[in-house]
Amino acid sequence: MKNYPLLLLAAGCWLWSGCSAPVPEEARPAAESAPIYPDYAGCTVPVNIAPLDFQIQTPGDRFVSHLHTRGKQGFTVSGPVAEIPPRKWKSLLAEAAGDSLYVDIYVRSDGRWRRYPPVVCAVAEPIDPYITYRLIEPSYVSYEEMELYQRNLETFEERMIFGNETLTTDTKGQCINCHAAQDYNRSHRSQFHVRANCGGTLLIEGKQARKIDLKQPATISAGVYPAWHPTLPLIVYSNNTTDQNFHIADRNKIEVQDAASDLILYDTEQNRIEWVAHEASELETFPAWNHDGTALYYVSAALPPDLPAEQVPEYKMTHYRDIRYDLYRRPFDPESRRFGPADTLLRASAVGRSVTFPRESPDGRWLLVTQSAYGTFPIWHHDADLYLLDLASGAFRPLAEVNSDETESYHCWSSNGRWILFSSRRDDGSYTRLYIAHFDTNGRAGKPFLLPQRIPEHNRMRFKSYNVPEFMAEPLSVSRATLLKAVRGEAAATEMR
Amino acid sequence: MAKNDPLRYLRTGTLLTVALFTFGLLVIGYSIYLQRLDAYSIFLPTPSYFAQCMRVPGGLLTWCATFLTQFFYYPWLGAALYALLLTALVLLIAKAFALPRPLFPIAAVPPLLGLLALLQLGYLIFSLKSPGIAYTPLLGCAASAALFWGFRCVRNGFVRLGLLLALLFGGYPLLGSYALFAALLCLAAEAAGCLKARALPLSSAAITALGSVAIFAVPRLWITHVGGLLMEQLRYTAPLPRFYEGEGVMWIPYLLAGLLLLALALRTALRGEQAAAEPRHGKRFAAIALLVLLVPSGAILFHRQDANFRTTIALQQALQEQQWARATAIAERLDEEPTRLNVLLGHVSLLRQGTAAERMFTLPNGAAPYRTLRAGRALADGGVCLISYHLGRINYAYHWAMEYHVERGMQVEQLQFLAKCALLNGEYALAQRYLHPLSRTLFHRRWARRYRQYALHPERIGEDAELASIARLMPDRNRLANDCGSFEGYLLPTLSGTTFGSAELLDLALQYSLVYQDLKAFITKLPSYARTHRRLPKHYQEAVVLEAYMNDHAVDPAYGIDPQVESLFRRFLQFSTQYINRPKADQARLLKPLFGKTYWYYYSMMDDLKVI
Repeated sequence: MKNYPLLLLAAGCWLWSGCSAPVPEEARPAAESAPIYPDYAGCTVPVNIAPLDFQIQTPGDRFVSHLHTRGKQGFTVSGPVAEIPPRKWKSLLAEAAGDSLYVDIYVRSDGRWRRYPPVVCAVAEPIDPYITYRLIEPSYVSYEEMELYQRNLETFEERMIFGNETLTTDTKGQCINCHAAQDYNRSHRSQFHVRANCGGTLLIEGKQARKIDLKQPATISAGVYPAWHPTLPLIVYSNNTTDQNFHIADRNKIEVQDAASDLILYDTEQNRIEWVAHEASELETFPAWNHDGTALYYVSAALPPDLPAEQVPEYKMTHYRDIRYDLYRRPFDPESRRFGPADTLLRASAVGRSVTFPRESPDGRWLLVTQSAYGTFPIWHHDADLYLLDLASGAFRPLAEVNSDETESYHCWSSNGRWILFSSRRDDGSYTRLYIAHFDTNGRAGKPFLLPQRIPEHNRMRFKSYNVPEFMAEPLSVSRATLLKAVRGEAAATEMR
Repeated sequence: MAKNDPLRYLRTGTLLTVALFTFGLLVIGYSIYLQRLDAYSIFLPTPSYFAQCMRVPGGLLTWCATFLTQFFYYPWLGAALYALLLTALVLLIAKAFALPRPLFPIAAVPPLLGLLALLQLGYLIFSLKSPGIAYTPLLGCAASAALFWGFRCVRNGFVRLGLLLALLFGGYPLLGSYALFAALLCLAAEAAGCLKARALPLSSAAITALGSVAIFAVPRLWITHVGGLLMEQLRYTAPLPRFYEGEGVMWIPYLLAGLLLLALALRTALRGEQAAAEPRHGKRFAAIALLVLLVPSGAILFHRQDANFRTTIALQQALQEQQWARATAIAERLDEEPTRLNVLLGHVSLLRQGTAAERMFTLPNGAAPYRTLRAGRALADGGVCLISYHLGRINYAYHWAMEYHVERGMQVEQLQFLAKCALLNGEYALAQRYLHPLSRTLFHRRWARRYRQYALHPERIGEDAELASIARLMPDRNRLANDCGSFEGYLLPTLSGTTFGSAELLDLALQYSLVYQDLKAFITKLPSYARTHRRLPKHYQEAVVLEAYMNDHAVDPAYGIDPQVESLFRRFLQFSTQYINRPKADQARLLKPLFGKTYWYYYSMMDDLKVI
């Protein structure tokens, strides 16, 4: 009993030493960098990002990581997994803003310390503090657990917005998808869809939520892929008749295809729907507004004009490689709320390619798209990459700085235009992870880095894909109870003009 | 205690009997069943796995239960642990409910009902979305009994109230419905105590009122404010098994155990603490208790999992262990009409031995119904992934392994399939993803280490006999396909229609042309097989003779048909003509002894098999 204070002191010292250890004085320099996971070496990171915890992947019995800025002392963390104290990290990043931070890695093996060349990260502009995404397995037909999350990029807080489990029953499943906010949620308006049980589209305004039914007798489906107008209470949706087929012997395992698709405009205040694009032989989809809401981008593929509707399913099975999407833009007058005629921006099909997910940068200078060999659902295409269109010069190039040998797909811009967030399957070819890359004023992207996690192994143990990531400047303020009540309630009917 | 008291050894005797009965039964009768339970479960010693479990009320029980389930990898070890826990639970129930010595055997009834609930699952183990199903009832029951014991040990009414509320608010996330049940026991005892005393102290009134409200309110609050992964319809039952509508019969053991514990709680309260533990009418009570105990014991002893199910799990286990000859012997041993699942698994065993074309129609064949409440899912849940993997349909096997993974969460066997499919598809980083959690398990890490070598050194995949042989069966031309929900309806024409690929794939295609009874497809592909083989296997010879007869041409002498085959075929024709006017069932019965293991019998007598 008498020894309790001593024991406590010893335990305290041990704990303290676990977090912070002295820099080894006698360490032989190593020629090559120590591999770390995730690989943050050479990345540009935002000044407000959460600690970039990492695993040292070189064998050893003791590990010390010394984090510092140019000429400053910094601090150390010990262990093969560097769990960086958030407060120290925050002040370190503040010191390093506009410059770089350095991580010197020391590994002891066979009783001798080795010092590896430092991991250097440039520290740049802040990033929007929140992102939203859906977590779902890279699944085929069945679905069980899927959730929409809001992640704080400055910390590791991951808050569930809504999950489909609560209102799923043994006989009625529920799917939730496509959370999208207006103007980075600065207007506190967002939406997501609920399918099957209690189906409808949830419109969130501040702390309120209501459910609407976007299916009209004249439309082929309810609203699917949404695009909020940056300022007006308008959302353009695609309507899609989607199904999927499976490759019997190919690494691209699933082919998600549209048999038909159109575009509609929904006025959230008037509760009214009108057509935007409605051609039977065209598959118009993936709408996206330009930065100031004066034009709408979308992609569309042309089916053979004389193809009868009943032959479309067979055509999709046999000619799936011939279905390619081009990029279009239609001017929009916010006053009259009228669209002008479509202008072809990229005829990708002419060069045997297919483009999807057009997203314009907040300054209106750049347009980012996903391009693959064919089809509408690039997440299942290993060749899918991000491409950048310079809207000033018309130059179009692969964004090689961020692309990998595996799929790059859904993407978005931060509100200041300096960061891009995109989904990639580079880790293993199947499970989508989120990567962030700096984007400079000259249109060059930096080396992307993996969304930081408190425990780096979490990236390997989480058997879910990150789906439809979007930046948000403001967090959602609606409560779970409000959302639950709205989802349970009847969906309000909408009008078609 | 008198030396000649016949009740003297009742407690020890009950405990020993229960322990030995449970252990013996599980080891002798259910070893493979236990191994399958391990295959359909996983335990990971990681914070994220614990966090995942805790997203559903009762997560702590699930976490502990999956920890214990992994020991079924060695059935004797798992059975010993199970028997030990079950025996300890008997003791705990006796203590918690202050059972007197004569009534001690009653304490064994709820645990044995838990064992019965486990054994009666049968095919449901393929599809049940209830991790740790083997142990959650035992652990939950133990938690409820212990909490009730704690509650009744507290004398101060307001402390009891605090305890009850803590049990509900703190216990629900950890124990789920078992915390609610424990609270129900406490409430019942409290109310019964008041009845007995004919008084309603303020504390008891508060316990009854607040406890009753909280039992209903806590799960609702969880749904509204926490959510997690809990389905609203399961808020009062998680982590009890997720049986569907129409499966009410599966609840019987749970209900009986619950009612018995409730009765014991009431008895404890009504008789008072001391009186409850006193033996009275000892021998008569002991006799009744033993009779009651006989009910679940008898039900367990006489409960028989049907032969097809036992064959299915034995085949699954043998194929997973790459024991091909053992698998064939298991398929051959089945002495009743097999389910389609067993027919297909039997074919896989022969395929792996390279004797399918010689023996595939000698194994029992048929389409017996699945004796389970989820008959429509038995084939899909129990074999599609395994069968399509062994037939080289790797994308299809991966597809199904992923479906299971999505529906039932992470499980050892699905991770193994996903990893092997990824290796065969050349997706080595993906294989590593699936191997990573397996490498964190206690007993499957060796397996993971072995296959990790292939992910790191793909050039060594060819050294693995199973992977190498399956790689040769993989189709080399891609197209889009959709099974539209019918496994055999998709598989049979797909394989039968295969006309290009490796020699092994063409051989498989020939076999499936026979299964599909498409003699035209068979005879079209046969020349390319015959060019590389000196002798046609038995069933191919039978098909050649049959095709020639049906199309009224002579047998091509290049095929070198065995004279015995031709002679037997002539006899088959003779007998068939003789029985032609009889009902088909009679014909089948009469022809079976002589021709039951020929392709002709399959072709003519089993042409209306209902494939799914």
